[in-house]
Amino acid sequence: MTRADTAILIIAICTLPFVYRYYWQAETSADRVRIFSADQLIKELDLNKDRTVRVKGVLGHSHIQIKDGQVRFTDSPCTGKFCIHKGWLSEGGDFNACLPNQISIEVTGQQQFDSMNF
Amino acid sequence: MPFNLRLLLPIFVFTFLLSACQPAPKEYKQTLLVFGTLVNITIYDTDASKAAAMIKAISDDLNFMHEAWHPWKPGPLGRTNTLLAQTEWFSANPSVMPLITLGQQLWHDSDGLFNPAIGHLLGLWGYHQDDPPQGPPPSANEIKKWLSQNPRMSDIETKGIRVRSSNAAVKLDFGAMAKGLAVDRVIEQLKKNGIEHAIVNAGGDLKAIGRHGDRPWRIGIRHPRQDGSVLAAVEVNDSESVFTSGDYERFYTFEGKRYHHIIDPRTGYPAGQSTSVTVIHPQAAVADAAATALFVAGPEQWQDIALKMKLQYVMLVDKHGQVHITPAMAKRIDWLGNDVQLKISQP
Repeated sequence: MTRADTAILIIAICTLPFVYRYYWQAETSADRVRIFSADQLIKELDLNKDRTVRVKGVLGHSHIQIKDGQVRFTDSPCTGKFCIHKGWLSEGGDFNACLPNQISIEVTGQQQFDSMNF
Repeated sequence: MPFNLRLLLPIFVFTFLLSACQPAPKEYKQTLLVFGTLVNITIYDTDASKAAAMIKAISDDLNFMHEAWHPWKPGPLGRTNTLLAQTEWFSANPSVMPLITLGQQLWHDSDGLFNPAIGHLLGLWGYHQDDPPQGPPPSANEIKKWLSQNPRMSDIETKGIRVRSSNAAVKLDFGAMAKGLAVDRVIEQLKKNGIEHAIVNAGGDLKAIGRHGDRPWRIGIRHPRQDGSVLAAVEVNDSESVFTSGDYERFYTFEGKRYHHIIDPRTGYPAGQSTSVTVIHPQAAVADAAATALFVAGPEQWQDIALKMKLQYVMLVDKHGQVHITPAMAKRIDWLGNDVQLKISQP
């Protein structure tokens, strides 16, 4: 076996786990928050990294807080504030929206549930 | 064994084993702002381009239904409401006829506790406007006057698409059924197009078909009084819907008092004995209307109504936090370790 053969084999072996993950494992991204404007995904954030983000919607900016593995709307330029009343989301499959501002959030990854009923 | 064969053999065996596996099916998820709510669609084990095309068609259809079934904006149901008030025969738009006929049946089955004819009453409470109500609530006199008019679904006569109301106070609002009917239609559309495994969740109420691979779909039911926590979990069978009506969904506070949106048609005021009702049923429209009717019925009367509506799976959380549940539902519920005060009773 030549050096080139050995190099090719090493590369092939190193690539195998990635190929396996890409083709054979279902997509999972652990504990993420997906933020949509209208129906378009605009941000995907780590649910375990505390932060507050400001997202522009059709009426103005919605404020979304991520803290201790939970996410919620803290401010939004709507009149009803239903999005804020709904409070924290932490379960995979759960979602909330500020409908007037057309901003929505969804918790994904390592889901205990496929969908939430409320 | 030569060196290169020792190395190549395990690679060959591993590759051979992998080739025997089926690639893991993909989940295709899309969130839509349609039908006046947030709709989450999950499609399992379907080609992504097919799923995307289906979701586009569903979005268009939901937008159509939202406009056609809107109770106070110009459109087929808005026009129907205008003409019902004239108490003369007219030809209704065919798109509203399924709402009227199914609405009449469910009104009858629920002893009138699900009453889509109470549009004027919902308007008095401020729920017939784009902006959420701020109060004040309607006066006792306004409520009394509305009650004396007693609009009911039996006031409506139909002959094909010809419709007439004998009571000018009838104003139709299918807010407690339309979402269910829309979800039923979306699921039918998915099935007709060869999609076998999916969940359609419209603003927290959902219907599922098929399974999530080798297991059933698993649903979390949110706690009506604890932000972000889950009261229970349930596994959903093929073509089952799970609908919940709760007093936390839409409400306003005026002078320190909270007024929610589920109005008891017998009193004219928000129903006060329940905090949430969950119903599982094959028809989403029935589950939707039944959840509202049982919420209004409350912990004393829910069994009578569940029996009349032939419901098998019901869970009602009363204002004290006690859970009233049918035996069939109790068997399916996983309480996730929550300490729950249970009262199991057969309707």
